[in-house]
Amino acid sequence: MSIELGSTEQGEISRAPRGKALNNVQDQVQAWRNADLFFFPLISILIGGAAVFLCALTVGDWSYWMDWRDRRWWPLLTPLLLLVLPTVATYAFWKYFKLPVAATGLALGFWLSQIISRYVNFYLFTAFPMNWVMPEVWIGAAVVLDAVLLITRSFALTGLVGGFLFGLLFSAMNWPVVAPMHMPVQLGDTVMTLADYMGFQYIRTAMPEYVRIIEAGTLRTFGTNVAPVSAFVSGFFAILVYYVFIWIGSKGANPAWLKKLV
Amino acid sequence: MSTVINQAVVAPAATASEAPRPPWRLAFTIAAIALAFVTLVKWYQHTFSWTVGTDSFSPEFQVYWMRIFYAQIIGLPLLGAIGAAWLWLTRDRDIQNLPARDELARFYAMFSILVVAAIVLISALGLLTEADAAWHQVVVRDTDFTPTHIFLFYLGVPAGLGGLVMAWIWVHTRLPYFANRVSLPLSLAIIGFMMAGPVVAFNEWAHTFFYAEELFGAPVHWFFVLAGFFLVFLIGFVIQCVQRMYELTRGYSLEEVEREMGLTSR
Repeated sequence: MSIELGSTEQGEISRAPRGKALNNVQDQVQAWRNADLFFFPLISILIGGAAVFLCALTVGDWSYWMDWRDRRWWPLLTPLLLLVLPTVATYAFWKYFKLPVAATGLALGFWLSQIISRYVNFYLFTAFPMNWVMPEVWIGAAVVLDAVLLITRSFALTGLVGGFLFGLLFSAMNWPVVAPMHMPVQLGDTVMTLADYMGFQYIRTAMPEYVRIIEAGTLRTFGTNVAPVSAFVSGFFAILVYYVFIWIGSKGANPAWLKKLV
Repeated sequence: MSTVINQAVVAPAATASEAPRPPWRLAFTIAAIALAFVTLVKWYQHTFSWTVGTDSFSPEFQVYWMRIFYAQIIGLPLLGAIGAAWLWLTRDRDIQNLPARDELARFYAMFSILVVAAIVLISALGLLTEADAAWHQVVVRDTDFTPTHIFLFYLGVPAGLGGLVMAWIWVHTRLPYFANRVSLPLSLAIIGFMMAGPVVAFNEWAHTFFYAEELFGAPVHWFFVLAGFFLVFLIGFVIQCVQRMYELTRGYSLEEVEREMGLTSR
């Protein structure tokens, strides 16, 4: 098997368009508007859908269950995985169309897909309460990421500032949903969070403590410091994630050709 | 028959004097059919998972679930092979001389159908994936072929793969820009999806060890991520299409276009 890489211009045959496709400038304007209608929704939907799949299989447990949303792993891992595909799409949108909208578009598509899935699968199918399986929201963090790109017009600065803010702000932006679940309740002689209490009411195969990856060890004694420390660490790692996946995005968006397949 | 279908699907509004238009009505019709099918699948799953889907040793499970499994695993590859062969055998042998107007109409047809159908397809992917997550949290599996796996793996994977292979053939035989060469990003996206086959096999094998607890972010699932990640190469394919569509539609200067759009000239 041989694979030969070729550029766009290397075909042996002429690929010039045969005749004219349009009649006048109005047709051309309409054609370009049609392109707008196609490409932004298509890339947002496809890559946003892939993001749902990717996040389900890596950090899905923290996304599904409120008793998994701790102060240590959830604020660290979830934003790092959520940042991957918006960054890949951002490269193509900015490089080819100068549109700083990819992260916001993906976040909207992701949220819509998630909220439908939680209602249909977790509420209707398996009878969990909706407030127990609410998906995380990262539209605000995505808007910040796109806004930094719009202002700086630079991948390097967007990674440094926008990537950092994405990781840093994620848990804070989700706090209104999570905070009520962290209220302490007393059950018999045991004090636990409301999230843990609900967890005991809804028995799941992810319940055993050797399966549930939540905060453990001495950091439990750090009181209120754990969440902001995790958020800052996530912010710093997010800078690295942004740079790596901008590079991967440049490979994914490369319109390369093979002259032959086998 | 092929001529009729090509004209109906591929060049719906293009006449000698009229500029091509996206076939939105056709796109929404296809999306509605796809949505109806997804709804039917979810209805079946919700109705028969709890009643006859919890014990794979029961005769009812064999009737209600395994028959669907066998039908899918045999029927879908067969349909894909027939569709791919039909697309190849009815290819245009003189594709390089396709008029620009018809070529643009084909791009319009492809993208209008894709953009509408993608909403349904991606919703289905999310729904089927997270149905699996929810189900295995509440029912301990006693088989690899659980009610959620039967639709996620043995409907989603062969249908997706068949559709992608047919799309690959259609693109390379119906669009002059792609003829006589191969789109690397589109090929990589399909190769990535093909990896779902061995990944499903490995996943099912590994779950024979881990049947009682379910950690959805477990390392055994990470290979799926790799397969799904190859979808990012579709961006490269879209860029290739954009390059060609720009060639086909750039008859007038930017100043004229801006004047037509009511924008001030830069």
